[in-house]
Amino acid sequence: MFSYLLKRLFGLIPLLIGISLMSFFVIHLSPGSPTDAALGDLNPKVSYEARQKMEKLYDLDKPLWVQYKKWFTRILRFDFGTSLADGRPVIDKFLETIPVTLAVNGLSLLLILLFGIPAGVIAAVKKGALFDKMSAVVMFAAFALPAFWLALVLMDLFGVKLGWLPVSGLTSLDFEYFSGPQKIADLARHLALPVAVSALASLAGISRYIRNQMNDVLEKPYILAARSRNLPERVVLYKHGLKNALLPVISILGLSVPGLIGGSVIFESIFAIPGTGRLFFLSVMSRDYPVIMAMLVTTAFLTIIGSLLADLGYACVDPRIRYAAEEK
Amino acid sequence: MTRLFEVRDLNVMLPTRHGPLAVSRDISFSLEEKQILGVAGESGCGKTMTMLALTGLLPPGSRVSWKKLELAGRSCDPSCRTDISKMRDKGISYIFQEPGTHLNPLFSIGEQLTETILCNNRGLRAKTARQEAVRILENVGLRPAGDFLRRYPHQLSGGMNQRAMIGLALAADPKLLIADEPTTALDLLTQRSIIDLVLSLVRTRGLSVIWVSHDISLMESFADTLAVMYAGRIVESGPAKDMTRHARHPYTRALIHCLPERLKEKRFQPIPGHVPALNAETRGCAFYPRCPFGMPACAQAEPLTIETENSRKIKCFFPQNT
Amino acid sequence: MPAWTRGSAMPQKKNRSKPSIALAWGTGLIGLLLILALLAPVLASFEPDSIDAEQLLSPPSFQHWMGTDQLGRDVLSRFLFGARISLTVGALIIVIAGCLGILIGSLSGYFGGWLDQLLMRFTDIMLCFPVFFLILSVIALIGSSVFNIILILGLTGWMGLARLVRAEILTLKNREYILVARAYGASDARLILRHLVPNASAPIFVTMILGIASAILAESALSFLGVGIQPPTPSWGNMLNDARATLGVAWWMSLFPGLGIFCAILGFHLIGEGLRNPAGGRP
Repeated sequence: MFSYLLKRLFGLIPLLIGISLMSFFVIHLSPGSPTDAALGDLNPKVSYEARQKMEKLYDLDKPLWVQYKKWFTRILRFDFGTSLADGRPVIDKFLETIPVTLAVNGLSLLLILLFGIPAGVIAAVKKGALFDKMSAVVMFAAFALPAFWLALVLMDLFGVKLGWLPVSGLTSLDFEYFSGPQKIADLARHLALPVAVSALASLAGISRYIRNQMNDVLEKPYILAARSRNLPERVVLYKHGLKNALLPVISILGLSVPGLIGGSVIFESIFAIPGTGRLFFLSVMSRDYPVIMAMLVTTAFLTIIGSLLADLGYACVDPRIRYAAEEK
Repeated sequence: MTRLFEVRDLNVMLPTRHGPLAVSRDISFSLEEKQILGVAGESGCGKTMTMLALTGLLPPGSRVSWKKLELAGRSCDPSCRTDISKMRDKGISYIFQEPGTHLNPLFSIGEQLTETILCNNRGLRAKTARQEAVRILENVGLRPAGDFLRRYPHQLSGGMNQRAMIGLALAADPKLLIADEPTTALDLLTQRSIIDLVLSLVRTRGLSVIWVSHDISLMESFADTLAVMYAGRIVESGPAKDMTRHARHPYTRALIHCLPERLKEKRFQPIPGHVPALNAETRGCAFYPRCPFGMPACAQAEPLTIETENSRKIKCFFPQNT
Repeated sequence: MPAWTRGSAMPQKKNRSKPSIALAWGTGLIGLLLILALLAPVLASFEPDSIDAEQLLSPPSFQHWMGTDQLGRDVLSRFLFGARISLTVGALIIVIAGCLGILIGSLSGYFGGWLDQLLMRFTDIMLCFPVFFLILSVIALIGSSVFNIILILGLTGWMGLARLVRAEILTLKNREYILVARAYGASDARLILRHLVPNASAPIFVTMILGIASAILAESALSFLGVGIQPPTPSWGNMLNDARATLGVAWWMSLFPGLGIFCAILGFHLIGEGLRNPAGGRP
């Protein structure tokens, strides 16, 4: 098991280098100097010397590969440089926004699993019944529904027309004056719409996926064999069937790791949530390239970590993988 | 010898895209205690479907009808809506052809065994169930039992998995064991050991067995009675040795003549033609197109089953004399 | 008549669904949108950016079937021309992504070896990035003209197709008819272009159909954020962005463009689903 892990980690190194290269060149191969944004585009008043100074400060006068090397060694130490927009360390800005995004996406993921998995299981168990067919239709519609449109519609309905929920921001204006439980309630009200929209967007997909997995499993020979042993249908479905059908959920969890930290640009923009997605968007608008590069590298890195965790998860749960790794 | 099991005029219908399909017709046979019935036939003759029908394990949408279905004195009423599975519950176990795929890969042998024991014996304590599991594993030859309890199906060989499956079948404490081609996927040596195991279980536990296989010569060696199926019907049945030595139905004869052993004797003869598709509607005898002894009358109506001395049954208008 | 009972202890299945319905509906929907888009100049009573100063932000009426926006522009006309933009952009994107994906996938699958390793590693690297992040980075740095958007979305949307094509080619590469063709002296290019890729065309086609849907969604999302199609050129996405300002006041501004995007994506997905399950397949 340990050597399996080591081998996987080793194979990641070229990927990591590739990611860093990609992130670096995405920014540096674009027209226009990165200092343009910081100094004001084409502002003739900015003196040549000031520009030179800035370029020297950010190593922009050196050849590309030197810049890359310097940047790469710095990010290995988690030093992502300083933001061009406000001079603060990138890592600080990043860390500020992570908890928010984590909360929103984490809650959303929880809802998706909590409702999506049972829905899929029911659809499979009652295959062909009304629920199954309805959920197929709903899923199809949900897939086609642009999430930002759903957000607008729900904002309109719950935020404006009914006035039940706030439509933007994380907290109300007088948040500091709230008591503890009031603060929690306020946060909850603000998070309700973003989390709900985010969850709704993926719910149908997950439930349909689980339904298909479950159906596949229920056709397997060992399910027939289990029935032949007089195991109650309940046990056959929910113990034998479900355990096998839920294996791929590990993959899903692994795939959602980058989203948990990277956040969603669209939702955070719509709902004005100060999370990592919004940070990225603002940085992109202002060409704050240290932040952009930092986020590109981090999210890509997290994707790899996510898939590694999924592999580990499988090895833990599936004895075929666990023992195959050991027997080597 | 008391009669353990009897089925009369069983018909199985499967739903297909083009309408219902009759896969077994008028299946009738009986089994005594401690008796082994071998069911032989080519692929596609309906043997597995018939067996699945007897245990209520057919795919959804299937329909079964029968005139009589009785296990250990308890009759299954064809007009009542309860599934046959209730009858299975009380005493039929099934073992399958490929043991590896019929065991859940995510649970250990021990877990699956104790689960079956607990489900079939309500109110049993977990500890007792585990002891029983150990006992069963030893009975089927998986020693040391403690080891095998912890193993997973993918870690065992085909033979060991089949033993585990037999163990699982025994955990339900059956009176009748249906073995659907249990050794077809195994090598010859393992085959023999599994057959020996089943024979010993018949002796020690008083099990009756229905053994399904396409290998008639294999079953001849250990079965008490044989039934040969063709196109969903039983075309001949009777005591095993008698049938193979003095086969009377043209199909059974042709089968015997196809046996590889006959190659040496230069009496090997493959059967021309091929098995009819199950949805081919025939008016007369299903074997008529391939029958070397067929008469025009055979094409007109389905042959009746003739019963002769020593409980031989032949479904033919013109059974051959030896 | 024998008395039939259920042979199975397992739950009964009801009627099978008919996947060809999906194909019919999908084609119908997309066909409708295509017609609307093609006939936009004919069907639209107004220019998409002409202003009716007396009817700012008015709800749907006989004169303006979909109402007007806050600048007095007719929403229906913008919708129709927006259909043109969104559909065209989506199609062009998938052409680029398709060519790239098929090229990389077939080279990778056919030649194998170090080329395969290199190309697949590259694909893996591209797949590590959240696609939207990549797109945003590049778009905001090189600007958001229509051409740029098509280019960038095309350059970031080929990975799935490449993997698919590679897998198909690996399967087909050793089939007999390929070996025969090669024995007859067919060149590599000919083998790939005339034999291998066409034989994999079914899954490729389905993937590309679904890809158009993703492309339209991506362009709409970008336009919604303000970095896609720039106003005054109408796109369903930027029409929705305009609707943000008038949220709660003008429901018609968010309903119709959103509906447009929804129908387009739904239509392509239905076609894809209908093609994937030929009649009688598993529902």
